[in-house]
Amino acid sequence: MQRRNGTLAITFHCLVIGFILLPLIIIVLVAFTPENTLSIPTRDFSLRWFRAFFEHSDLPSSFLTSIKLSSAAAILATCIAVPSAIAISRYEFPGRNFVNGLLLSPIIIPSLVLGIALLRFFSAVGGSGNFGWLILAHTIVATPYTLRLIMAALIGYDKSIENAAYSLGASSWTVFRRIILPIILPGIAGGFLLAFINSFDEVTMTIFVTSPSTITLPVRMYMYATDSIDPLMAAVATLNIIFTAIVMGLIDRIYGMEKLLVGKG
Amino acid sequence: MPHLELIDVSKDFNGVYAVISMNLAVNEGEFVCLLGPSGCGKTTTLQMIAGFEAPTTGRILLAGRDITNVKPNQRGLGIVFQTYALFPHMTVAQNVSFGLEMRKVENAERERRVKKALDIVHLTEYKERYPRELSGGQRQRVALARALVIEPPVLLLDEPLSNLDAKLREVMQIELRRIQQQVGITTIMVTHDQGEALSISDRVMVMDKGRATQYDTPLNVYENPQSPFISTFVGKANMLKGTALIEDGKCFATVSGMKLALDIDLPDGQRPSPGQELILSLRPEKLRFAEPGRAYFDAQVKEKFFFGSQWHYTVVSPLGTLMVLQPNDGRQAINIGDNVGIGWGESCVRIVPDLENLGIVSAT
Amino acid sequence: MLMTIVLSFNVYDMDMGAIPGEYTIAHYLKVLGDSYYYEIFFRTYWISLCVALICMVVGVPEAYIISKMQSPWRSIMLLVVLAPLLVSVVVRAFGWSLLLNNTGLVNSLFTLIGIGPVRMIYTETAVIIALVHVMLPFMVIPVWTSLQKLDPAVENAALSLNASYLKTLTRVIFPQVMPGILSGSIIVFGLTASAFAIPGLLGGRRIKMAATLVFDLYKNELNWPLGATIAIILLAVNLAIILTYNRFFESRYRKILG
Repeated sequence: MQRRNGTLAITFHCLVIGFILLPLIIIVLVAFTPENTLSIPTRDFSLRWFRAFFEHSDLPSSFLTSIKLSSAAAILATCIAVPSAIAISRYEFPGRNFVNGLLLSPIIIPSLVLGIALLRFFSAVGGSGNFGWLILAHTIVATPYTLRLIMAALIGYDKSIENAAYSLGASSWTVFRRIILPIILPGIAGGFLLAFINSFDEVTMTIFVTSPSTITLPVRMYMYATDSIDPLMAAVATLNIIFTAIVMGLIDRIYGMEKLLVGKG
Repeated sequence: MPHLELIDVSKDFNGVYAVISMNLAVNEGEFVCLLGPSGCGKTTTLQMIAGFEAPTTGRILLAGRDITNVKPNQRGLGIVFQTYALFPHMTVAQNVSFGLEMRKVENAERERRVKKALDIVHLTEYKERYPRELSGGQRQRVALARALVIEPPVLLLDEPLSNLDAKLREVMQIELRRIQQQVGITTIMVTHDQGEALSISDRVMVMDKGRATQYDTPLNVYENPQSPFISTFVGKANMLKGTALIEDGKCFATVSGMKLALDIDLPDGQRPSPGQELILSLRPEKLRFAEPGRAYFDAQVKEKFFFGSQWHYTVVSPLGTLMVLQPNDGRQAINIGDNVGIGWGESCVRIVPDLENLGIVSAT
Repeated sequence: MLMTIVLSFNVYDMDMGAIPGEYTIAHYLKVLGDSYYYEIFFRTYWISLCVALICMVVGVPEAYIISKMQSPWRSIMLLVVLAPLLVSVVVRAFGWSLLLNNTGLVNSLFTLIGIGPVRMIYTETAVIIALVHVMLPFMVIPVWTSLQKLDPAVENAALSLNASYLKTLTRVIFPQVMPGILSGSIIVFGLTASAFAIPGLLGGRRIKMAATLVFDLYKNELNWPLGATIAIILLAVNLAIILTYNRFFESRYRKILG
């Protein structure tokens, strides 16, 4: 690529970046306002709304619910994805493409449709409101992300190192444990975190299958936001942004953000 | 008893035969090259010796023991892969000690052996580095150390030098041979580079289309190729067609109306019958220039290429267009368009058996 | 398998009346016959189209510009554009409501300039803006992938043959990136049509899209069958549009790019 970007291009780019960051910046700013209404703090910065969050009756528990839910879903998703990825990418077996398609399909189905389908399914099975079923729902949503990542990690290294290990006397299990696993570990960790964050943010499907006892944070925020908008929401949102940023930082450390979002970028 | 033996080994992949009736016997301490163009089956043969492919028919014996059905992680052979296959997440030292760990060798002993192996390949200072920090040549040496440290009965090399640049390749060829002789290990190397095969092996097995065609010392393979394919694959050759002629008990061949003297010392069984169609090979470096009219026949120089240590000419002669190789020994180069005389020494014209469809392997 | 079972439950479901066990297509007829529903569907697809177009206009040049940057800027900028994907939709919608609301930042700016407070929130405009914000990464990713596959030497070849920079862009680079652009547009279109949180928070009572309508039917009116009907129609129309789009463009481009 020869030509560097001209001024026009850079200006355009800055506008776009500004557009992208603006909503997030404004949220963080408003969260620190000392006022009672939505406003941008100009002189005083206050943490009152953050305190309000912790003192609120429902919000912190929703946060915990989300953490528990997403952790469980991510763990399950990873447990499903690792053996599946290895089986799909290494072995020929009947129905291989079918299983691959099946495990990746939730990404294609709009969360809306997923939501009402699961709602119907759960009520037929008598499970609505049950936390366990909610975990199942989120695992379904999370698995494709983990699977894709682990499969990419499996493809991306020289396979003959496995033969090398065999020739040096290693058993299949040893090869898996000492050669394959360490190499795909960043992929597994990245997949776990990606699954976690996607489950944590999920609202469209969740809002259908949720019940009063199992309200996740995004759903709670949605409900709150439709009723009233005040700086408390901004505080919650800011916490969410910070939390997301931390997870992103972890992903970057372990796996590399660019690879995650775009593939070998 | 041969150290490693392949008896009538064949491999077919869904009806396509990659290796056909291969018989190979390698003596202890010998360095044997499997040489041939892409697709000739040499890598498949190596894979079968290593155990990564199972032969469709035939047996493989190691020191008399049948290992045909033994799993690759139980054969204990040392293998250097074409891409080196170093474990990217382990240091050089960890890579090399892996095989010893699998054999449950104790720490102190392991360290001693790893150090010794790294010394042999001159990489001792690099033992804490990771593969991605090493150059191609260094990685190759790590792969070699890893294969040697387990003291295997046989060392298998799969085109180990093909990923290196020309200069490095030359250096490594010599290194490889030196190490092999120092350790005294039976070695089988796969390569498509005939120069490499000739320079470092004790014996060369030339393969073509899944078959073994000639198995002999490098000199014999070069000077007495057993087929037109081998003639032109191993080195360059001027190929001629002629008819046999017997005069006074000596063999001659008539080529394009000219009478050429043939190898005098042909044993009785190999003398051609009069009138038999012959394929002959004349190596370019055996031809010599002389004053026009003073040698066997005259030719005109058509093209000229300079290779540093050699001149390569093509000349137009009564026998057709011929390649001539002359050393750059300080003499004046001949010019394009000049007329020259062409001659050669005794026994330089070879009869090449036309044995394209028979697999020949000489006995051990 | 799980999905298909669940969805087939759905199919039977929407044919049920208020009395379980009865299968009718009354709901379909109701939807097809009532202009109220037409209006909502029309709005949904209109918004999807607008969002897709805007994302194309903004996303494609942006992807191109980033691809021309040197590292480390390149990675950083890519991250900035794509990172919002990991922040919850609700948070992003909320941010826009702060910006676009009557006393929000944008309006304050407008007042300063003298245009006066413009009613933005709870209008289509707000929904479109916020949706563009959310969907932009989905356009950038496929375009970026296409750009990465370009052989940089090809661009140099064109320039060496005396093509002007603009010509190179339009005749050499753009056609090769086309599959990425199309792929991105389809994704954006499909996702927007079934978007829920943004229209819900920024559209308010007046601006309803298909997804929010479904939600209302389920949660507020408890009319599950009708809600399911809407959802299935949405899905079906989406699929139809995507398939025709694919069929049309893919055949054209398959010939060229193989």
